[in-house]
Amino acid sequence: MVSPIKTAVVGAGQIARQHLACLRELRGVEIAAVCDLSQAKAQSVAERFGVPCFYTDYARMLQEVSPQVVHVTTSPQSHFQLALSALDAGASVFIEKPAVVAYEDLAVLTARAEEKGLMVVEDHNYLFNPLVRKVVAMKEAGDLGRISHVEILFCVGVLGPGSPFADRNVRHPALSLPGGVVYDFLPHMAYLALALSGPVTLADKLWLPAPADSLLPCEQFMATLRHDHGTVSLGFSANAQPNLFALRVYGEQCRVELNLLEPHLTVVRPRKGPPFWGTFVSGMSQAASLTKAAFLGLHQRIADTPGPYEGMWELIGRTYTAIEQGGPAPVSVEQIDATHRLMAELVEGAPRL
Amino acid sequence: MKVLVTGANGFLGRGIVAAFLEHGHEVRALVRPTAQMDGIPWRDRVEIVRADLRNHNGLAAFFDGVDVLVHLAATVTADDDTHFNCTVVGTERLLQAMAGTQTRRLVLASSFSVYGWSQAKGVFDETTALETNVYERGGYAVAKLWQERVARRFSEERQWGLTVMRPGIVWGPGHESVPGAILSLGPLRFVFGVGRQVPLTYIDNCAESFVLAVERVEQSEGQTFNVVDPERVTAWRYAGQYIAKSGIGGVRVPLPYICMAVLARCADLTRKLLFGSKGRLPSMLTPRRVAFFKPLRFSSRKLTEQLGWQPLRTFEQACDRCFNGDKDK
Repeated sequence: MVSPIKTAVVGAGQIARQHLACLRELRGVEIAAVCDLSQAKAQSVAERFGVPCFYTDYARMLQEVSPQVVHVTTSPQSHFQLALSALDAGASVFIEKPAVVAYEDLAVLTARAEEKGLMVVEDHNYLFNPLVRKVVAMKEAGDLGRISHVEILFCVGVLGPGSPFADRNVRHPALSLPGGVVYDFLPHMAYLALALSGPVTLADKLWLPAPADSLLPCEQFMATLRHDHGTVSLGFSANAQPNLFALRVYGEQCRVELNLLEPHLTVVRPRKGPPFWGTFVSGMSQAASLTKAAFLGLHQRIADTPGPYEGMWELIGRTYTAIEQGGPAPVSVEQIDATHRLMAELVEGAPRL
Repeated sequence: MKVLVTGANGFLGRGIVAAFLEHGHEVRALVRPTAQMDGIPWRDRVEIVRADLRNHNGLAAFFDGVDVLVHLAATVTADDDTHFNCTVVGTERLLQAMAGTQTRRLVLASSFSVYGWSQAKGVFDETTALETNVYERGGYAVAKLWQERVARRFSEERQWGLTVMRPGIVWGPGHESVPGAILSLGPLRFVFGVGRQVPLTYIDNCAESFVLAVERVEQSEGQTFNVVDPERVTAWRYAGQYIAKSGIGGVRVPLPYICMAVLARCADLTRKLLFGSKGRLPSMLTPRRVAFFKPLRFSSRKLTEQLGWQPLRTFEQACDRCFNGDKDK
């Protein structure tokens, strides 16, 4: 009988609970320990997910538990050191995005992993979202035709009431990143842009400085990228409501639209016949797609599915399969490197606190 | 005595600080860095110190000369992580700081939310079982349960004198609306669990109990007290007063507990049939949430007998003070 893969999680916040909920469902995985600076936080998460050990001392956990995999789910500024220590202790690492804050640190991590024969996986969760996978499959099958434009837009009410980003007493760690909270969302934009359009070069960018009384260094961001056949636009707004994570892919044969916060995908194709008929059929088709998404969204809520974290569950599952079978990581070092290279270009000169 | 009160500018904190001053105690009021202190009547009579328990590095200094810590700081509305960080991690850091000082007594403000309401029957008092399915509950309940656990752990490890106060629904001027009592739909005011007793405690009455917990050391150390006014106020009576006196108007519509319980059971059964052990209903349709409206008899007997607590205001007097601004009655 094959012994289970022993895993540990460092950081016991909201995203750690998503990792643990997924790990608990995976066969052949033993969640051996959780670690957090707060004993109560580590202990409560351990109790909630039936994890036998909890620690507040990370080095001690690595030494005593000897995990084969460590999930790094702390604030981004601490990812590099925690991941490096895990690699040094002989564990592969699954790191929440952004894996590193300084691009140079990534090379250190990946070199250490290669040297030790271990895996570094950054959580590119939306790449494994079923709807995104469908779009990527359509692209690869040539259904979209040549892609002329990709649009990725985040509208996130990070300054709304009750938001941890809007806490004036304790500054959220993400606000100290280059570009502030935008940096936390930038990996999603970067890896999706690269997956859908291929290699890109930066054409233009705008970090709109926030008003003086804002908690954020930047509330609005926009960038334009060029790829072989066209363009990509990336956008972020901390004010526009309601929340949206829109992905639109404009191909020569059809247009695909997604809101990744809801299970909603619409394919709009040019239609033959008189123009009024085409408009009518297209409208009806979109209405049907939205109605289906509404019911699916309701079902997801009541059925308590991972919802927007579905891609993360898929990615974690594939990571453990790769570790078990000795296969390649589901997110390659080259993908992570290209993502962070693009991010580094995008945040150059970005305002920060 | 010199008392360090955390969360001093919250609704409960303002009342408690006023009560301590009235009883001749010295108060150091700990508030958050951005807390607005304008209009607080006692603000010039106490020492105000500012810190966020989650990240302040000099918490130990606040215990200088302090006999008792009265720990009220907690979040009331936030996401689950913020609840835990503010209420539990904040408490953990505060008590770690206290461990290095001469202060050895702690009075903690807990909550009725720590009890297992689904299992509760008949008389609801300090012997009622605590929630066992902790993580099925919302972020506030999880945080309050863990805050108590942390306080008990520190107290046991360091032999501190701990008193846990569990107030019911604290209400008073500015907080007249009792959560979950009335649902407004146009001119209709649905009253949940018509004949049930609402576990109300008027702010002055509740504050008085905290003062007694601090003053009556022998009777309070190592004890847990529920704080609820002994006068039985039903949801229907409360709603009648609130609708008439707050000016919202409208017509009271009774929503008996039994109807709510049957509806929740049906919804839960449907969920189980469709999704098995998984699945999640909107909070108001879960039997666990509806259990808050079941008819129970809330007792403050222990508080009355052991600490000699007597409420300062009746429900009628409290209503007058809340809605008519009448402070002389």
